[in-house]
Amino acid sequence: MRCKTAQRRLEAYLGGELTEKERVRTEQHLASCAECTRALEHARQLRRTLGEKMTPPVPEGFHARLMARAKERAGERRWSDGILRPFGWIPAMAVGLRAAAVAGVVVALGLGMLISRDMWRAREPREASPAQVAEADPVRLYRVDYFAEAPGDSLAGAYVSLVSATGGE
Amino acid sequence: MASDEELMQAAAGGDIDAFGELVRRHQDSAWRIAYHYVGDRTEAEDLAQEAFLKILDAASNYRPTARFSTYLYRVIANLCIDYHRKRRPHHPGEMPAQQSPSDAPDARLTAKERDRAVQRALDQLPDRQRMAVVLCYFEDLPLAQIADAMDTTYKAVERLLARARKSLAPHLEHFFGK
Repeated sequence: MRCKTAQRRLEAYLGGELTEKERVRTEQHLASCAECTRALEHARQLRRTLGEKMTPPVPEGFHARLMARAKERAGERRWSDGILRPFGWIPAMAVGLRAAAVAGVVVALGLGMLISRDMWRAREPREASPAQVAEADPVRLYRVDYFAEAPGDSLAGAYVSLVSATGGE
Repeated sequence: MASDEELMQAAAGGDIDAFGELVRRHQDSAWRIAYHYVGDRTEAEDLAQEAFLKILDAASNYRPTARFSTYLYRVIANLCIDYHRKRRPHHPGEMPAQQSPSDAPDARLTAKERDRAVQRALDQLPDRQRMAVVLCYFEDLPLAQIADAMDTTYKAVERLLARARKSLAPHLEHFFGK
């Protein structure tokens, strides 16, 4: 065994964590290596010195302070869960049911769009047919507006009277 | 009595008293690790509390694949290491001056002074070496559990501890055998 391996294993050796085979090999190496034996002694002393360092008790009120913060966070979580709750049942559904629900939503949306389109169309004013325009204002239909101001006894006036009287027929 | 894992599952379901019981069972451990890692009571309390709150926040994702204590060690180890990296980056060149023989402690040296010397020696270790030392010497964890908590291999923990020993020994050998 090399010194590097032996020294790497010292902690496991002191903690009794080596396998029987590893322990025997490490001890064989230690018995023949002054440097590693010194390192083992240092490791023991270090373990003891660090182990003597005092740990102050948990600060008074630690648990109460922590629980107050935890309850505050739990309250915030409940609030955000409440917003998402209407959709909370989705993950619990079977895959087939989820697919059916999605398909249902898509169909409903499509139908809604079609119905609303027809409704909008029904509310829009329709363009008048040429016959209706002619009936309402034949002068405008036959583009004889420029004769509209002509005197009644002129040829243009007679033409306008004719068109108006026949409704463009 | 409910196991830690059962309490965690209850906490995930919103049982705040179950979480309170978990805290009561493990607060000493969390406090000890944070305190020896940072060496400051206020910071240690903040870190220990933050570890528990993090666990509560993630309770619904908890899967009892390992012991709860290992999960707690992992959370607190990561928090301590991250916190320390952000707060004071480690500069390997800046080692505290070693005490000369004339400074060597005598019989009057109090336990308090020894504790301060130990903390100073710990402070100069790189983050991961320090965490390995804290978990090994103060928490007395087996190396395999340290490896789990630090998300590394058993061999890597052995190496971290061997390097830490080499760094710590010159600063603390005047206490050896006293």
